[in-house]
Amino acid sequence: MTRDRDDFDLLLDNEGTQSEREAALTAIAADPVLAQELRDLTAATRMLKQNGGMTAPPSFTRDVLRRLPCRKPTLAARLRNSLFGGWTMRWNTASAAAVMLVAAVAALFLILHFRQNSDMVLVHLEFTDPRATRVAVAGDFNKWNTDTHVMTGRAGTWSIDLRVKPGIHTYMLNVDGVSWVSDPRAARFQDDGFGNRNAVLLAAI
Amino acid sequence: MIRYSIIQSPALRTAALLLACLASAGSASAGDRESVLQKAPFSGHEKQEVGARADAARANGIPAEDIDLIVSRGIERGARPETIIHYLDLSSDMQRQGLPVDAVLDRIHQGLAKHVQPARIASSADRLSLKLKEARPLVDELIGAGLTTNRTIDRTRLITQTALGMEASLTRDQIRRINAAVHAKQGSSSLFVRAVGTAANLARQGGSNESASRSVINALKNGNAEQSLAALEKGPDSGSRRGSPTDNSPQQTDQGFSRNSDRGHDRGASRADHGRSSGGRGK
Repeated sequence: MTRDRDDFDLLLDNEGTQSEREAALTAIAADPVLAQELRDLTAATRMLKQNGGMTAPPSFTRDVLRRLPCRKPTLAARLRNSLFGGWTMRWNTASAAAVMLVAAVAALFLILHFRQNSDMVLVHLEFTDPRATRVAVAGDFNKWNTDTHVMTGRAGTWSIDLRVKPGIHTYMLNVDGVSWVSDPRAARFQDDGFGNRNAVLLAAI
Repeated sequence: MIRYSIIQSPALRTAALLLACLASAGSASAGDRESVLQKAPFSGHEKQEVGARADAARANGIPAEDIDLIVSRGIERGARPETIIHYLDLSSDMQRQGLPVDAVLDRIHQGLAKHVQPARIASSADRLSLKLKEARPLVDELIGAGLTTNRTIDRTRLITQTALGMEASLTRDQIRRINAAVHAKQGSSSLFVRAVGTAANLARQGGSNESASRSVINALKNGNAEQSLAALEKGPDSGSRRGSPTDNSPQQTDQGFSRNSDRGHDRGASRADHGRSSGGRGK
């Protein structure tokens, strides 16, 4: 059988030497069934050549795959596949450009963030109030939020290390969430516009 | 056939997801503000109006964080919708005119945080905005006359400090004279800010603006101007008025005074113990 197929290939594809092709033709002609098949295949080959061949449409592979019988994978199978299955990334210029854009934005964000932090000035504040249960620093650097910069208290002494931008800042101390107190250790004060005195903090590099 | 995603490329899908995350982070605060506004005891029309003005302020370049803070704290402190709108419009107006909006925003944030009556915050912010408008041409004039800016004290800071001086009733001429004294001393913008601040503090402490500016100019003529200004501020009414009430409203006044009278002695002791240390200085 394999031998017969080889003979067909030799004849239809016009391969091998002249003597090999003649030997193949003799062998096939001896069998009427094979001889008829050869005639049919020769006619089909001629017909295809006359039509000039056909080009597969771009959707050929997809269409073929779509017609294949498939079962919807279970959730567990999809999860397993997404966790342990391999990824095939199909790149093109647009997707590469999009990813590069996102990476560039992220890098810029990180650089700005670290540069901003590296410019910050560290300031140590201390305050004494043995009866206070909570002391917070609120100022222009935290938009007067009494929850973000809570001082640490030990034996009535409250302290905090602040990171602020270089420049002039104003702040007050918020005691127990009720009283606003000017920092007694500040060297300078400034009216807050409401009759109280904010402490002035000069943060210089 | 079910299509799971419009974007077929995994790379594009990842990029789109990241961009969506960034966009959602930006819109999250607007959502928070919206939810706070919806819970406010305002009528539907009032909520709509506050929301619209907040959007307008955002469009004018006011940071979303500041807008959200004004709206949420304003509601929390019982401000009327028209007062919140006033804060937002004033900030927008300052931004449009290229004036230091941060100073006005800070005044509003500060007042709301300190439980000052919302209407009083509005008038204080109005006053400051007027002074900022007046201060800008004066600062430009002083810069033209040799006042320098630097990384720590830029033009915006100079305008703000000058406006605060004017708010304490210092006149343009007095500020010009202070600048001339600083200039004669070859002082920096830092010394100018310090001098105007000291004069403002003296004027607020009950002295006339003329005597305050004269005292500051005399101090500037001394050997160490910084020390002289510090000594001037240490005068009879120096130090902090610790625990002073932040509002005239009965509730706040009662609250402030009760706390202060309880604690006044301890705080006085704390200052006596430590004196003027280097607290509050960058290190």
